[in-house]
Amino acid sequence: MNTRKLYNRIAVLRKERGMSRKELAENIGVNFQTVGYLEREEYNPSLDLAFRISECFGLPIELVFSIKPMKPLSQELYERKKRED
Amino acid sequence: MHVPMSKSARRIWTVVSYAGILALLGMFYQIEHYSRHPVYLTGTALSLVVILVSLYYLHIRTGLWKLVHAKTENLDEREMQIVHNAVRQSYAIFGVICLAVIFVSVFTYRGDTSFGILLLWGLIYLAHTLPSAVIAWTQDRV
Repeated sequence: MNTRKLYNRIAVLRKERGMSRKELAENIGVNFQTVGYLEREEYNPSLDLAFRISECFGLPIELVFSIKPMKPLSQELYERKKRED
Repeated sequence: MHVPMSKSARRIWTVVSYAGILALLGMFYQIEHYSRHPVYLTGTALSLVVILVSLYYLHIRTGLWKLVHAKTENLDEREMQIVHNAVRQSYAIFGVICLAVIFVSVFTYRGDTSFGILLLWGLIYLAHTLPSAVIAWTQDRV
């Protein structure tokens, strides 16, 4: 079965929070190498793992994962604010 | 132990490892049936050394042996997926090799027990190492 590529912001969010790959891996219960694969978008996580990652960052899942290439968070926030104004 | 190795290096070690088994079998067959010439005895010993060295560098040092032989509860979902695919492919490869060996043995068997035992050892070694060799051959990063 061909699966769609999932894009994510894991690397940015992890760095923002000053976490190492190992710390994130321990929080979400995977091997630290798997975090590298996720950050490089070389591996699509299961729904359960995707939720665990989102919960770890305290963000809704759609802010962490997308099926389309993701814009920088700052740009997305700016556009959202503009729409609201 | 987990020392990363490039994909090309892993592929070279895989070829060296299984070439070592073929050489060991060939040398031993020669010793058992034709001649106990020191060249063949040395060749047999060297093949064994090559097999052991490749076992260490390709399977143990890279952590692949540990990965393939780990309990399921100690693996995450990506590792489970990799191991599952490797075991599936190994099963197919091993099946074809076993069928080929049995087919050839039917026509060439000469009642050579020692060689038969060594051949069996080679097949069991192959069965144990094939999953990690498949991972070493196919994965970009280990």
